[in-house]
Parts: sequence; C-alpha cells; structure tokens
Amino acid sequence: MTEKFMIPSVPEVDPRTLGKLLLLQTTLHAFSGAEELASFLCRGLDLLPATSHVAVRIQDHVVFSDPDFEKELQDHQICDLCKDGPDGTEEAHTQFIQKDPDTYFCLPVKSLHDSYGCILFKCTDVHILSSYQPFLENFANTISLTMENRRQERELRDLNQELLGAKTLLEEQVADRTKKLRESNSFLKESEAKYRDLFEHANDAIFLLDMQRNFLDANVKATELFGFTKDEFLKMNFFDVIPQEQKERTEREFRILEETGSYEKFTGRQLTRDGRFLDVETSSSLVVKDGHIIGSRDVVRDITERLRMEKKLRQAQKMESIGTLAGGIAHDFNNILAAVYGFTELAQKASRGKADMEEYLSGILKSANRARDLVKQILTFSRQSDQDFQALEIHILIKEAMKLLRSSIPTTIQFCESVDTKAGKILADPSQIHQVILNLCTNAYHAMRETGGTLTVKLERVSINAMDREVRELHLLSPGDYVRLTVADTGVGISRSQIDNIFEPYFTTKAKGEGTGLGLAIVHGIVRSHGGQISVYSEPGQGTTFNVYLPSAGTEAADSDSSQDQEQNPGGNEHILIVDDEIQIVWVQQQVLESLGYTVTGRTSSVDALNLFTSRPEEFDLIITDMTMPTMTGVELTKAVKTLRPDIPVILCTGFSDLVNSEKAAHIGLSRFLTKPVTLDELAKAVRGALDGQPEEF
Amino acid sequence: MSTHDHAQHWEFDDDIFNGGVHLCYIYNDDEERARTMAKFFAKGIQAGQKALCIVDTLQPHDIHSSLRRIGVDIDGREDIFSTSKNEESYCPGGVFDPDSLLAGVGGFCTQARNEGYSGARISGDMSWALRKNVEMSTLMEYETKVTEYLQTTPFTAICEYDARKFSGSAIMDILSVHPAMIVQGQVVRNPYFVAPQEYMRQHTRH
Repeated sequence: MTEKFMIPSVPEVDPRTLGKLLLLQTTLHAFSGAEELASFLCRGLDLLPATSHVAVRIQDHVVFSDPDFEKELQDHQICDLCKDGPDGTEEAHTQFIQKDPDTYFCLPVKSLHDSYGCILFKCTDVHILSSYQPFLENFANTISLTMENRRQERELRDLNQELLGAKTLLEEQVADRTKKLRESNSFLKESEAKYRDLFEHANDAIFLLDMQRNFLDANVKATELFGFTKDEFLKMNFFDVIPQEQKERTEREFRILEETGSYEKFTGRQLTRDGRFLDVETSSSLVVKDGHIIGSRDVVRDITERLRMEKKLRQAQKMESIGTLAGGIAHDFNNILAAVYGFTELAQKASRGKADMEEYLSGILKSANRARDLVKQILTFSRQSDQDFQALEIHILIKEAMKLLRSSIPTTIQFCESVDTKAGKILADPSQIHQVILNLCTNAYHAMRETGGTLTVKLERVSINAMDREVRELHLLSPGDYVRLTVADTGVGISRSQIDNIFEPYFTTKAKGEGTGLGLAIVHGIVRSHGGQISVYSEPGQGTTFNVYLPSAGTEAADSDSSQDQEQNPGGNEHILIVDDEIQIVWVQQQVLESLGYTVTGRTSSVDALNLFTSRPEEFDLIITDMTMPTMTGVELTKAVKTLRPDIPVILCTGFSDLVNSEKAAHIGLSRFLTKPVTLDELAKAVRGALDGQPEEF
Repeated sequence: MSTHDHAQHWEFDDDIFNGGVHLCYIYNDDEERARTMAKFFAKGIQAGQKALCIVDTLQPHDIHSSLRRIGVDIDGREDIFSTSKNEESYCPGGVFDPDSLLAGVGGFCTQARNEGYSGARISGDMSWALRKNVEMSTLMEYETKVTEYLQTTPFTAICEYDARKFSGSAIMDILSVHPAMIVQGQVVRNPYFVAPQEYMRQHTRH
C-alpha cells in the first residue's frame, strides 16, 4: 500500500460547536434587520473552531470580525464579499479563495431564487472547518430560508398593506357613499316631510289623479272639505264628486289641461259626501315622469263663503246705491214740497173766510204732510234723516214696544221675550230704534197671521273679535262689543229667491195695500246709520230670524237731553236777505216772512247775494240761505258774510242735514240750520230765535 | 440539576428550575413573549413558587390576561405574583447599580424562602438598559453576578432582551453570560455560555 492510497482522516465534529451552530440557527429569526443579523452571525461564527476571522454579508451589510481582516480584504478588493456576483462567487472573490484554499472558506447564502449574502471564514486549519461543511451549508440554507421567508413576509406584508390600503380606501369610499346616501336620504326624507307638511296642511284641498282621473292621494283639507276619508278617496274617481250637469264641462277642462299643461281657477261646483254642493275654484297641472304624462295634481279651493260674501257685498253696494238715489230724489222732492207748503199756506191766509177754499187747501196740506212723511222715511232708509242720538238702554224700548204690540197682536201669536237688561247702552235715536223693533215685530206678526206661532224677541250683548271670521264676514262687522237684537217668528218664511231683495225699498211679498214695501228698507237704513248690521235667516215654512247688531256704547256714552224747545212763532220788523237757487222757495219764504212783518230781500244766486251784502252790510239783520247752490254754497256764503259782519246771524236750509253737523255749524257761525221742507211755523221760530240771539241746539 | 445535564431542552416545570438557573430570552414578538412568560410563571405558581415580574413594555394587565388565558387567575394575589416597574427596580435613585440590584433580587428570593415558598421566579425586561445608556460591560458584569448568585440558590430568573432593540453583537455578548436560553418556547443549554469567572477573567484581561 503506498501513501497515495491513504485516505486523509477527517477531524471529528465537536457537539459543542454543533450546539453553537444550532443556537445561531434557531436564534437568527429574531433579527429582522440584515445588519443586526450579520453582526450577530459574525460574532457567533467567529467562535467556531479553527476560525481566525469571519466576514459576513447579509444583503448590503458586511460585518468583519476584525478590522485587520477588513483591511486585508480591502487590499484584495473583495471586501464587498462577491456582492452582485451571479451566485456569490464573483471572479475576483473566487480567484482570491482559489489562490489560498487552505486558508479561506466561503459559504454562500443563497436560495434557488436569490442570493442573500456570503460568509467568508479565514481559517487556521481549513480541514477542521470543512468537517462542519454539511452543517455550515445547512446553516447557510437556514439563513437564506429565513431571508427568503422574511422577503416573502415582507412582500406579503406589503401586499397586505396594499390590500389593507385598498380595503381602507374601499371602506372610505363605501363610508363616503353611505354618508352621501344617508345625507341624500335624509335630504329626501326632509324634503318629503316638508312636501308632506305643505301638502297636508295646505288650506286648499289637493288631489293627485292618474290619467283615468282616479284619486291617488288627497290631503287632510280634502277629507275635511268633502267628508270622505283618504281611503275612500283612493277608491274613488274625480268624477264621483262632480255633479252630473257639470261632467261634460269637466271633461273639457281635463282636455284643456292635457293640451296646455295647466289651467287655473276654473270655477264650478263639487259634491260632498253628504250631498252638499261646494262652490270651488280648481287649478290643475300635469304630473310628468320620464317625459310621459302620468296624471295631474289638482288644487281645489272652496269659494262658497267667498261667493256668499261677494253676493253680500254686492247687495250692500246695491243698497247703498239705492239709498243714495233715494236720498237725492227725496232732496229734490223736498224742494218741491217746500214750494207746495209755502204756496198753500199763503193761499190759506189769502182765502180766510172761504170755507170751501180752506177745505181744499187743508186737503193739499194733508197730502203734502203725507208726502213729507214719505220723504222722511226715504231719507231714513238712505240714512239722511235727522237723528237724535243718545245713550240708550235698548231693553226699555223693547219693553215699551212689546207692551204696545201685545195689545194689538192677537193671542194666537205667543210672545217669547229673552231680554238681557244688562245688555248695555247703545248710542241711538230712540224713535228710530223703536221703529226698528215695531217694523220687525209687525213683519213677524204678518208672517204668522194665518197660522199663529211664536214671536221671539231676544236682546243680548255679544263680543265680536277678530277671530270670529265667519261672524264678521257674514255681517260685515268690525271687531268690538255689540248689542244684538233678535226678532224671530215661526211663520211662512222667505223663499231663497226673495231673501236677497227684502231690504230693497218697495219690495214686498204682502198683498196690495198691506204694506208700503219700505218697512225693512227703513230698518236697514236705521241700523246702518247706527253703525250696525242686520242679517236674516229664513227657512220657508219654518220661520224667519232677524239679527240686528248695534255697536255697544259701553259706559262712557252720556245721556243726551232730547228735550225740545217749545216756542211760539212771533214776527218782527227786521230786514232779512233770503238766498236760494229755487225761485219758488225764495218767493214763498219771502211771502211768509213779510206776512210776519219782516222786510225781505230775495236772491236766487249766492254770488249776487254776497255782492248785495258787501255793498250794504249794515242794512241786513239776518240771512237765510240754501245749502246747495251753483258757484257758491250756503256755507261758503256764510263764511264770506261773516268776514264782513261777524255778528250777522245766518240760517242755513238744507235737504241733507248730515252735510252740516253741529260741530261744523258752530264752527262756521251758523245761528240755525233747517231741514227742508220747512213749515211756516218752523221758519218763523227759527228767524225770531236767530234775530233774538237765542242759542240753537243743533 | 445533574440529572438534566445531558438533556437537549427542558420544559418550564422541569426540575432544572428547582435548582436555580439564569435564563436569557431573545424575542422579537410581543405576543409570543407574553405567552412564553405566562407559561414560565404559571408553571412556577403551580409548583408553589413566588413570582415577580419586572415590567417595561409588557404591562401587568398583559401578563395577567395571558395567565388567565391559560387558566391561571392571579388577580388580587399579589402575595404570589407581583409586578414592579423596570426602572424603579433596576435603577432605584435613577442610577443602575448592579450590586444593589442583586441585593434586591436576593432579598426577594430570601423573602420567598421565608414565606415558605418552594422557590421563586423573576423575569426582567432589559429594554430599560438602552434608555438608561447602561454600558454593555456594566450590564455584563451584572449578568455574570446574577449567574453566580443563582448557581447557589434555588431560584430562577429570565432576562428578556428585545432583538429589535439590541444589536446583534450585543445579543452575542448577552448570550455568553447566560447558561441557558429560551428558544422557540423551550429552554436550551447555551453553548456560547462562558462561566462567570472565565468571562470576568477574559474581559478583565482585555
């Protein structure tokens, strides 16, 4: 056996060294950083047997066990430990190791996929270290596996991070969308709530209809107005509430709606659940969805009350017009009557002793008196009559009137009185209020004359406030305290066709000769002149109720003294200037006054009269002037003469006493004012009183 | 201890822990660390040993929760299991003094013995050393003294080192002064361990 066949002995491995390798191997996972791992391994491997120096590179980090070894490797330009080499054995590095294979031992750290570094041992005896080669290679594989795992963990972590980022982004987007959706839903809900609130609380009935005119929705007002529940509406068709005679017209309106897109304020009537008719005003518009007409929205306003008010207003305006017209006629008629009176009275004086003549003239005067009474009634209706207002306890008047009526109305008519003696005072003319009570009660009696019945008279204090809309509008009353007089009968009643005309003058349902047709017109005029209102409610065959509202005077109104002076009509010898554009009146008054001993100058023009007075102001003791004259009125004339002679007494004659009230009369310095037609006695007393400077009670 | 000299690894309830041992635990995962420490203390408590956990990053409630998860409820049992803050324990007065610390450890062990416990287990998180800039040599001096002390007393101590904070080189130094270490939940003999006297001799010579 020769020496060349001898197998070199392999040093035995030391279990303690294997233990060190095992510990390093099981601990290296604790180091997450390449530098710390390289440092740890370098220190641990440096303690292996037969090892003088170690250099470890993990990825970019190279650690040397000794600075001298680092310098040595630098000198050979391999201090980067074959970094970037294809398999950890870069050429220079390989050449360096191959040059001295007994000293250097290189252990690449690489996997199938990647190279992670290199461990370079400088050995004192490479054979000893080589005996650990399988363990070292296994150790290097563990390092590379750890690095590989770490890389994969890192990639997984990055991927997870990306996924987490994507998830977070997605969650944010979902949250954002959810938030927006929630906001949008909230907005929609809010909008829906607002719409629903407007819809439900609208003051008009609102319907949604489909193209077959079936109800799809109806608001609260609709259910209140028509009496149907919402569920009932949803089973009904719009034409179910349209009266038969109006259906064709409604069809036409729907066609107009479909052609024009909307229509406004079509008026008509619609039926309620209990068969009542409502006067309505309907505005409609189409509901369009995705370019298709799917139905309509209809706003229905109940104008029943409005129409009733308009009718009432028209009636009131008509009554005002009639009153104005009647007043005007009465004024002219008074002027004519003044002449009739004057001439008749003159004729009576001239024909004294002629019995038949006196009788004729007396007949004329009687007729004139009747005509004057008629004019007074017309003026009362037109609220242009003289009124004597005083604070009045109306219940006293009612008691007196009822006593009078009871004695004249048969017992088939029962009286029912409900008079509140504390109803309070009103500012009123007692004779006119008396007339109102008598007229209304007489009408009631007439309505029950054939059948008998109950006449109810009621007096109470009522308070009308701004909230009593219906009461206010119905009677055109202002808010405040009122005394309400109610006169009701159980008679024949008034038909609907007649009830609107009952307050018109000369309108009557009575037989010819039973009534003048002025009774209710006068009542109306008196009530209106007292600032009140009158309403009537009647059911044919059931009876009629009149309600008279008169403003309460409260407790502040003072009683006025209604006493009248009772004076004689003496004559005199003073010079009187008479001014009236009606020559007959000038002539009659002149005759009358001259017959009483006065000197009279007459003028038919106020301008002429003023010129005359201006030229000779001291010549006249009294001026009697008409009120309404062309160019210059009686008041203007009075003012003019008063500037010339403030002490000159002036008597103003007028057909409309309300044109000159007491305040105005006092202000312009009038001594008297007389309402036409003026009788001889009235004229004589007024003239004497004015000349004597007696105070007038206007 | 001699019966286990040839074993490759030990469990936390093996007899090795009745004889006194100084362990090193290198970790880089807090959850795994909490589980490992809970297991270490649970076995000790079950064996009738007194326990002290010096906490730092791991809080008392973390270790309590981990113990509860493995069926050991020590809430309100400060007599058996107590915790103390790291810097209060290691640096009373603000300065790290290995001898006084060792006296403290010794005091705890004596107290356990006096109270009738069969042994004592202590764990200490060593991250404070980095915050306090304790020199490595001073730290190693302390560790070698602990090793020496525990060679003569039936108590066990684990020093916890965070591999994410300590350098690889420092970890290798640390390994050299602990006769055993915990690897993947098991206690293994440390082949890098250098006996205290030898370690001190080598480093004093340098």
